Amino acid sequence: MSSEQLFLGLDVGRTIRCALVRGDGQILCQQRVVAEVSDPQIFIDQLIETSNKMRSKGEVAAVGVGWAGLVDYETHRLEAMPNLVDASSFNLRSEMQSALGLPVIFDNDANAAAYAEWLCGAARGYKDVFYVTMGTGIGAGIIMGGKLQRGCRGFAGEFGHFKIDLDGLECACGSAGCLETIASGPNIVRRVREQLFSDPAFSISKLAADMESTLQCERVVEAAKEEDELALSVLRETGRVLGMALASVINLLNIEIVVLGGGVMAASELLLNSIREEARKRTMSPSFDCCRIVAASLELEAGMIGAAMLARDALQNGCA
Amino acid sequence: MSRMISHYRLEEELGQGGMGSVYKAFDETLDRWVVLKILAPELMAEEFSRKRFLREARLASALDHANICTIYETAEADNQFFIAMQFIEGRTLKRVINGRPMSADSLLAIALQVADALASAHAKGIVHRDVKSGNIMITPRGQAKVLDFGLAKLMTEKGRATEMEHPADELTRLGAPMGTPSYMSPEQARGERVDHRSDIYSFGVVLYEMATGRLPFRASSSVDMMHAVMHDTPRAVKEVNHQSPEELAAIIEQAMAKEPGERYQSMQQMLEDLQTFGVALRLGSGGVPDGATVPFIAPRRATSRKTLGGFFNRLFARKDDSPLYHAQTARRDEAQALSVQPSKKALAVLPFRNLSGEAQADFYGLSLADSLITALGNIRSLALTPSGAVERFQNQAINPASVRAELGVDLILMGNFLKAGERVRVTAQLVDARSGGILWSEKIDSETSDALAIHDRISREILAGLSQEHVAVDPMLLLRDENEEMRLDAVRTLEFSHDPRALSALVEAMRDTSLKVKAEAVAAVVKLGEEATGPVIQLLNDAIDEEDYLTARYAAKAMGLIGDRSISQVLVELLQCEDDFVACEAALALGRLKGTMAVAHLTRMLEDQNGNKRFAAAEALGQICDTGSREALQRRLSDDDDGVRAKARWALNRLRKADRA
Repeated sequence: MSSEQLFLGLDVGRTIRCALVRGDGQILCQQRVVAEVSDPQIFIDQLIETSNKMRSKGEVAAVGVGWAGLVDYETHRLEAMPNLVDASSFNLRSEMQSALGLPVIFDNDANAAAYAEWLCGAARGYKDVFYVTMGTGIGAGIIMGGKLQRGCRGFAGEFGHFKIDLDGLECACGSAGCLETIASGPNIVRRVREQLFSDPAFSISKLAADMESTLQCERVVEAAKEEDELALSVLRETGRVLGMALASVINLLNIEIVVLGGGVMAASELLLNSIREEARKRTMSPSFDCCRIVAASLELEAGMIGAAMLARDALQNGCA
Repeated sequence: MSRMISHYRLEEELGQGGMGSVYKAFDETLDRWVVLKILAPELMAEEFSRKRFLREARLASALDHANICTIYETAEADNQFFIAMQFIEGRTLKRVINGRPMSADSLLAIALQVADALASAHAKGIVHRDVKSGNIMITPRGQAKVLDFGLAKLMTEKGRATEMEHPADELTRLGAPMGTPSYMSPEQARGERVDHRSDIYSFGVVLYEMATGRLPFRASSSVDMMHAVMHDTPRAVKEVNHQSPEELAAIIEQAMAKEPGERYQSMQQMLEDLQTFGVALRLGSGGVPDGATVPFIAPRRATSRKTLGGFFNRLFARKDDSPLYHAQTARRDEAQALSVQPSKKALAVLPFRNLSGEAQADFYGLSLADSLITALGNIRSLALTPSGAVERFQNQAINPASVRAELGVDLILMGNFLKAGERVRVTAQLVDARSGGILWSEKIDSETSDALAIHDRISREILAGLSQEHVAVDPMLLLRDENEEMRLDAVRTLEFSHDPRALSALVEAMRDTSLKVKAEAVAAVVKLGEEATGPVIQLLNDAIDEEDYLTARYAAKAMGLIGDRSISQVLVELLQCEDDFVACEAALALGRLKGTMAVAHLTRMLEDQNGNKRFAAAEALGQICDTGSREALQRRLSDDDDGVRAKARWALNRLRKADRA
């Protein structure tokens, strides 16, 4: 296969990111659109339109889609999308293939991003990798022995639904006490707002004034960088919870490297410090000592690159 | 043709004044007579005053009590603000008194109704500020109705001056100022901030007027009157009317104490004493009131803490030859037996609490207590608890009742110390273990260079303090220390104090400039429970008026955490508060109380531009779990705010679970 062969990589969450990617993982061009999450048909049309626009910029061999939800690896059907529009009644792969006239593969978005970080990012050269993406939801990709591990049907890696609290909040997945109910972007903002109401002292913080209209996780991260006490306390706590959950993974899988990515990791140093500290306290020393915990290097491009590379591999293996 | 305002037909002008005009009017929608007060435009011109007035009037309209004139509506029509209220047939109490003393029976029948009305309003945080005989209507059946709740704040200084010249008909003459000079409390006359204890004073003046037929002070101008209120002592009730019962005079005297801390601390306490007086009066006379008015005994509230014995004990301590003495001998003996001074008082000196945060300074606390035990051991009238028995209290928050139960002591000497560099500050308090009241308090500053000298000096000063007459210390003084740690500790001490003034002091502490003290005061006030609701709402209203929104937010937080269901309507009103955080706290409180009556208001709040309000509304609706809010919550799933989306999803999950259940 020539490195000049091109692939489309889509990272689909509340934002649709789409890139034209070379066979060596280099992005040639990319675009993003806000997903229409209230209507599945509009959403699907958006995907097709975005892909069509991008493929017009070069000759595309295959399309990879990283999807924020459970994807059946055998059938490429979407099984559950806790944070997205419910498109489970659509055969999305077949609709896209016929609309684009190209082979299309679907995989979980965290698997795609993990694959990219392993191929050309922070986990390059490692064999046992645990990649975590933290945004609207929390997902993970597991690479063991240099191979992406999906489980028997592709549903492995749902780190966001790791149970961390017996009496925790109800989660979008239908269960309760999931990691995501504390550490996902929306839940970080929820906790910031709850802190604001639990202690009126916070109502004089600058962040409280910012909250009067709308608040997104990015602003919380910015405020933490500006030393805002409310934002700092919530992010530190988030780091501790993530560190506690990661300790279980490290103890279970004896991972070589944990790579942390996604929008929430914009606060990388602040989060990393408390994640490492908590993970160290809660992991058996030999396991912790041989494990690195680092920030992802491909940032928000990982999902698109990984999806494109998974499409490339599938085409190469005759699976697309 | 009669003039119309909104759906009210104006029939007869009842009066005019600085506040506007008063009409008898007919409500054509509901077919009933009302009194319509049309407010002077200049009073409503300024937005802040208008908002303040409307908030107060809306809160007052939430009052539902047989002895309070109901406010039906506060509204605006044709650029005129007006208040529609219940039309009451009858005469003002001023006219009923008409310059002559009332019989004790008639007085009591009216006093109990008015006291119950005021207690009920105070429990909802509403202070009248202009209690006077002209603001109390007596119907032909003898029912008392208190008028004009919530209106006093609108009145102006300008109106006050006219009061003296026209005392005849307060019902129809609008424009009375914030309090009428003859009935004003001293703090009101000084222009200070007032709380419910100001109403207690004014009600004392009304009782004085009923008992004697005259006002306690006479003056030719409002300035002279206010001076008299602040500085003069009125002639004793018994001196003006020899027929007046001693017990009634004692109640009036306590209500009219110059210092708020020396009055009844709640209208409920005063009501209970009036009820007890009523029982005594019937026992003494062998009959019921003379029928001049409908006899009415306000119901006792469940929160009553005083006993008949306690009341008589206080009264008879003043005069043992009361005519009621023999009828109540057995009860009095029992009460006195409880308060009999034993020959020896049991005293526990607890280890002083270390506020320094340095563990190595802990020894001061123990050694100070130890040396005091040794020094005090020489006083024969004291039985000291050995130091071994008190060690476990080191650096603990002290609840006097628990210490009393555990050690069986009458008095507790406790305190704390703060060590900073070479200086040490010790605060000691002598607490009555039974009541929790602080009997004596002292602050001692010293150098740390000579530990023994410090111990000696502190022991000497504390001994000197102990040997003085025990006069109750005003808890407010403890909260005025310039050191934040000391004020914090004072709040923690007051939390467990049963001093009747502790509640007012703790509520006041919520105004402290330190956020830590504010937060600690909130925690302490919340623990006091529903008893604190009224004073906290008062604070909230005053803080909003003063634009001290931070204090208002703490007050709103406390109010929500107390969780008093009886104020749900007040909370609904506060959803419209000009301060968004107060509105949010009201929403959260309604959620905790499962206030289904607020679902429509909260659903509207979900569409507010303010993200905090949308978030609070989603939280409240999730708690209430009413299916009527489902669609509005679903729309929030695409909110631009991450937190609102998460909260709406959580609320919808709760609704789904409720559906399944």
